Amino acid sequence: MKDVDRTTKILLACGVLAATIIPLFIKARFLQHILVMVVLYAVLGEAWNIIGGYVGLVSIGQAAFFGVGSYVSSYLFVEYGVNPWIGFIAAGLITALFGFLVGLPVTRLRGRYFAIATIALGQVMKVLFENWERVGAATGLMLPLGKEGLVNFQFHTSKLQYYYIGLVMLGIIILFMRHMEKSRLGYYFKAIRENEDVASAMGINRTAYKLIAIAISAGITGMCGTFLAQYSLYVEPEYMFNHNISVTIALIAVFGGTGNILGPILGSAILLPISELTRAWMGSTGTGIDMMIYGAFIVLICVYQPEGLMGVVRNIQARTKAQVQQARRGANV
Amino acid sequence: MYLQLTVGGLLLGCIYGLVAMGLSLIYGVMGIVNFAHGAFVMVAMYASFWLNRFIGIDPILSSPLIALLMFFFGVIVYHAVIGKVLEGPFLARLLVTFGLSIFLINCAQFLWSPDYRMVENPIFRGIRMVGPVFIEVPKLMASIGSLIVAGLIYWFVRKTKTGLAIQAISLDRMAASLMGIDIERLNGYAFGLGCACAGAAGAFLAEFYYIFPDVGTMFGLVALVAVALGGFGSTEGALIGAILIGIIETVGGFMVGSEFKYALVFLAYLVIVIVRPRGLLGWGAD
Amino acid sequence: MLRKNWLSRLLVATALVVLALGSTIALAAETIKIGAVYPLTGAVATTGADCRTGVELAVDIINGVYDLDFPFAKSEGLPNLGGAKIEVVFGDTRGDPTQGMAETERLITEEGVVAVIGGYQSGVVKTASMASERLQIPYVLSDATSPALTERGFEWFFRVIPHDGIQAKNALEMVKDIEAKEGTKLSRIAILWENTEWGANVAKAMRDWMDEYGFTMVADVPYAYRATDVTSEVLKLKSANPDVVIHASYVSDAILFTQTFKALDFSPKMLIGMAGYLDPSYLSTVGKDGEYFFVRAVYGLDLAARKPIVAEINELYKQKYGRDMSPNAARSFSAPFVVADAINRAGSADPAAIRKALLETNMAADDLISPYEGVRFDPETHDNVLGKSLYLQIQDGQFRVVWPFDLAAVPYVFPFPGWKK
Repeated sequence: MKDVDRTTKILLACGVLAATIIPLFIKARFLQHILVMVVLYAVLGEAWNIIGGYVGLVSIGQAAFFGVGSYVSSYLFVEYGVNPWIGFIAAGLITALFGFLVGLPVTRLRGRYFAIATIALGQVMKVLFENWERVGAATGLMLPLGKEGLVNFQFHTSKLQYYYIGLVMLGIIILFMRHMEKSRLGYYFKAIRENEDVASAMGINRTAYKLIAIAISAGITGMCGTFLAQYSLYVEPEYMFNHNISVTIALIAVFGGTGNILGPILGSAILLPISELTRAWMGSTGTGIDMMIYGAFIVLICVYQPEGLMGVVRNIQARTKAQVQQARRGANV
Repeated sequence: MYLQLTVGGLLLGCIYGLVAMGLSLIYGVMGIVNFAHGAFVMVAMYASFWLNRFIGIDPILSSPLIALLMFFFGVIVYHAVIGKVLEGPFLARLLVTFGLSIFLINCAQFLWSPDYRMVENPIFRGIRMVGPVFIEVPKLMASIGSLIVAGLIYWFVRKTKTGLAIQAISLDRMAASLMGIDIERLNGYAFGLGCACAGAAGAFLAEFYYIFPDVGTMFGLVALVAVALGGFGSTEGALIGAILIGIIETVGGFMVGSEFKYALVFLAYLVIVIVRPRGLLGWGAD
Repeated sequence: MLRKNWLSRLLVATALVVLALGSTIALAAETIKIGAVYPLTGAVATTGADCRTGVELAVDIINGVYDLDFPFAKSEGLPNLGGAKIEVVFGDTRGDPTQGMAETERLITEEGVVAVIGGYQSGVVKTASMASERLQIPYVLSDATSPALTERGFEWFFRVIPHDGIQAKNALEMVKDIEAKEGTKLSRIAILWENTEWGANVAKAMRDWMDEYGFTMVADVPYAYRATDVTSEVLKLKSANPDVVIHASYVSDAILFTQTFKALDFSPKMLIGMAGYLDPSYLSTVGKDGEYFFVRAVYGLDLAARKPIVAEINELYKQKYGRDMSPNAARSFSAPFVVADAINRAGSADPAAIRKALLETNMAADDLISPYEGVRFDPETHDNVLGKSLYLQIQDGQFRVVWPFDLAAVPYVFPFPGWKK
């Protein structure tokens, strides 16, 4: 048992080290872009995981939160010249509040009714922003190019800075989730996921905890919105509230495996490069073959690997554990 | 003016309804939310188009054939993909059809290019004036077809042995299996039947609507909301939900502003499920 | 065991993809690469594919030897660079701004392109041109018309096509001209626009010019371009009873509106369409129902009457693709020439030198198949100061040039004869 834990820990440490050091040697911007997308979606996947994996409310409308967050910071910046980092925090807080408010009615729903309600929410928000003159309506907002640097949250010569900001976000959220997993909050979340009615009978205020989960998840997703806004320096409803963002987030979680910390990171680290590389490789033929492969890939995952990659990891772990035990038994004999 | 809008909404709703009923049937029996339903409609539209192009059958006349073809297509898809995830976790069941949809849409682009196509010289075309209201003949035909299919499904599910067995599965899978019902086979039939509905819808649409790889997406999404609105698992509910959505879209779009019409549709869904968390006529598990 | 296999297969597949990528990068030599980003998959893929053909033909003419009185036609490659050839690397934006930016960056940094063209959708061009601005690579746009694009003060961004502000002005000028000629009053105008970045900007430009020309706007109707049904939109227009409807649309919505106009017997005196109406699949889909629509364009086959070169190039296009060159393909056709001209004058493929040469661009009207009076960029905004748009009318299944009157090939049909024809 201990041996397995130790190898896992060593592997994890290697992973962290690799994620920090290797990118320093990557000079190709396109690869840097893929790295940025990987960390961004890893964070988004974790945020999804809080409601989807731990509380068991499947959301396919995270783009609603993502878009709101991106608009909060961009609007503050364009209209009032507020520093994007303050906008980043504001995006987190306002989106969390927004998540809480829409959560009030929506958390009553279960299963696919909830899932479809989140799709509906995403679509409604998109239409509202498309018609809201104040924030540029369908034209969106352009963030002026400024001096590059950490203070302005804009980098032009390299994308690595974005990557490291994303990595720090990911680190913080991982620490938070580790803490959450061991706290009362985490147990309550899981209790609600396993059986809502029983949890409620045990005296857990399920509505309150669901709302907490949604608010946290929305807040983090909103901050990611700011991140993408600063990355592309442009926000537009069609772009920030895109249904594909919601779907990709959910797919990453499924692919990686839900209800644990590592899943979404693994999912993002494998799914996004595949999507980007197939496009770069075959997208220019214009035949849709890259998206065909992507679609087929998703189907194959759902059919053959429905527990996600973490399912594979767990299987390997179980097998090594068995081998270790067998080896011990052998030694004892 | 409002009469015209309501009639337009009604016709549109019937077409959504045809797509929605298949969706609801599939859900009711095996608990799969089929996000690829719009893509199935698209496949059926292309099938009608090619039949028309090469053999010269009008899409509305070929609709039974298309429905039959789509039935087999559905059975194959069920046994190749859907049946294998039924026992899997909720998320895999929810997302497998997303993948299927992306795959089918891009397959169509690969095979038939992204060009827009339209059936030439359909039999049913033109406009009839009924009092002060303009009615498009092909839309009227599609709506009538939709009601006929609704009647057929009603009859099938309630009066035939297979239909009753399918109903038994959706009520209690375990008990049905104990009573000797071959669940795997019947699931396949039910999925095929759902696809046949999409097939009929596609054939009717092909009579008057243009065809391109992404054409089904919006129909699929609206139908999904219609099903959820009517309550998952209830085909009657799906039809009612769809008609309601059609009317909200046209009348509501006219009154509030057409740029908001899809927001209204989704908002209506949110309001209804908040009041009735299982939709208008929904039952069964979540 | 099975699972492990599956994983290893996945790894191998990924490795193969990476390798294949690497090998394409290694091929870069001698030719000068320019990048072209277009929506090659997704809802507007058909237009992306159409634009692509225009670019391909342009590059054929630049690289090969053709007996045409056109820049770079008679010589092989670029004469000032010892006959160096141009190679276009295409990127797929999927119609999504993030992908557009990523593809542009990939083309610049991985493929080593020295200039970028294309985009088509204004929203995508916003981020794509941002990428080239950041990386200091010239971006020459000949197919997106949102005025906001050149209002950003970018240093590396140039636009050949006249923007919506000018095109809106042209539309109203045409209405004025027809009013004067027919001696009627066409004061009630309705605008109908797809509600994304591009349509919203057209609408804005229209509103700005409408007062100036003394028109009254009787309806202002935005809609979602993915709509499955537009009954409510058309009834709204109908109840406003406009003389003229100006419609900013993509392809599928252009088709749907045309059908619904007919179904609800909505026939204003003039219907003016944009963009989507020009797509070859619009006319092939709606057939006769498209008759007598006015369509904004920067190209028309009829121009051949005044510019024989248009017919010659169309002949080449027809040989290659088996159909007439569409206005969208013709729009995209001009960008490679502007870029090639700049590279040739710069005498080098250095981006900064190309940018400098672009600023000094002075192409004559004869060097273009568009109705522009030439290409010369404004030193501040980098918009083409010689740009000009045309209006075509669909007559007997053909786009015929009807405005400006001095370029018109056939007389216009006015008023719209209605649907019972």
